[in-house]
Amino acid sequence: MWQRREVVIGGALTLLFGSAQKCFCFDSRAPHSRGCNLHADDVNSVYPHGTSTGISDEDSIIPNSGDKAFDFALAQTLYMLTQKYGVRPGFAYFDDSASPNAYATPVARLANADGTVLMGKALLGTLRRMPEAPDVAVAGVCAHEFGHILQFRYGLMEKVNSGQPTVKRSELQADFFAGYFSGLRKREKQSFPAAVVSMTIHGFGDTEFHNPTHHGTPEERARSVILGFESASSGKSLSEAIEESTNYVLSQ
Amino acid sequence: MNYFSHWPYVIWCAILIVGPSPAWSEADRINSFKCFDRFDRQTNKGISLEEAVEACNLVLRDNPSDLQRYGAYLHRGLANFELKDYRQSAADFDVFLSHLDGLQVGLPTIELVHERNAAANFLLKNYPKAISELDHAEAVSKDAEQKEHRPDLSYATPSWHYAIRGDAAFFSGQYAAAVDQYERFQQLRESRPEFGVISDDGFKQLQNHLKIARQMAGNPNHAPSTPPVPAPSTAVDACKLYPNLCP
Repeated sequence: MWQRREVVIGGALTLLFGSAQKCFCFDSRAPHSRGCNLHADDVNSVYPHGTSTGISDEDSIIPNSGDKAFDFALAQTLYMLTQKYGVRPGFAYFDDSASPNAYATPVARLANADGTVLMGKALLGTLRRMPEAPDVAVAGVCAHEFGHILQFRYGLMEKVNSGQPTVKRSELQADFFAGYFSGLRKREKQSFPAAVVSMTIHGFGDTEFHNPTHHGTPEERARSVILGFESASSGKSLSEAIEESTNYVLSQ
Repeated sequence: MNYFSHWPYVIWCAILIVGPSPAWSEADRINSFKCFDRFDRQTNKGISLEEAVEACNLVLRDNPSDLQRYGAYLHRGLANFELKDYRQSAADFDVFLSHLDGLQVGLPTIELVHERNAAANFLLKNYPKAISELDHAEAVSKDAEQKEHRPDLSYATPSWHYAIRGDAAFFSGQYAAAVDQYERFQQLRESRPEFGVISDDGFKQLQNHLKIARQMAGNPNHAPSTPPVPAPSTAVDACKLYPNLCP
């Protein structure tokens, strides 16, 4: 059991992290984009080349993090995500030193790929400095971004965001999918620290209710992760989880 | 999370039915209205929160009946909560709870969950500070207990705080801490059911949270710093998909 000091310090770190990284999906180089979804018109400014070769003369192209062991391990996690979500996006890093970010875009930069997920190196560094299971924190953000790819695949983005002033619904649905992934991993491996996914995404909540990029409050985001976790824990299929998450966010 | 927002009406109506003390003056009646009538926050714009707190202070000063006293504590707690004086608000709610326990009036205490969740929402934003505030609130409650010669008040206090802390930890994703706090609440409720200040529905929700928190908690302190080494076939497949991440 945790001691009070640990609880307080943990809470302080969560708050500190949350305040430092209020939202990981806004970038001045992506004026057409809302939330974590990189609009096609903004792709080239953020990510001009693909991940298939990983080689580019553009500064913004970063095929790997420089930590071979971590990248290799992350590739396995991403592969698991492709298996569980049934999508195959490309993946690359990019220079987000100006504003820590991660994106998902429907623009495919890899042969036979379902869009592309982009992880900023600055955001990666922040996540990897988290005190508890940083690898799972990275996996949680990737699971969220892969959730957007799932939305692109099934046309969910338009469905849930239709008529909405903010992207909250689609973000909460991506959070749901991240929770779903953590629940599936928990079922496979009891020691998987699923709570870290919720804690990480909770830290990215915001209260900018009138900002079009509003992703949901910390509690709304954590709640969505928990619902996704429960969905997986109760043995629901991906299609059932998609339906459940859609109904849930439409009620928000 | 807004389970039931009209429960102060029940208390206000109960006070009206029982009626004020015969010794009450017109000024007392006005104070009671100012104190108790704060519950309709949407329409009652005529009385400020500060005025309501002061009116409740006067009601309590005049030593009315128990029913009026606990109503005054409740409504002062509500007003203080809106004034963001969480320490005093928590102390007021604690005294209110102790009155409920002592009187056994059978009011639907589920509605306290509403306040617990309001407190939990606050805690989400100010968790470390709030824990400190609640610790101070316990001290304030004990002080109030001594002044009012009410035994066992401190017993009611931690049960509420455990539930608040459990919710705060739960909704902030700190599931191990949530399990710890919820289990403390359950233990206290089992050992002293008369202080289990929560309805059946509220308790079911708490148990549901506890179940999820136990699932989510896993064993984070022993999590590997890097993902497990994959089986060779998985590694090959992963590297086919993500060659840029593989050696």
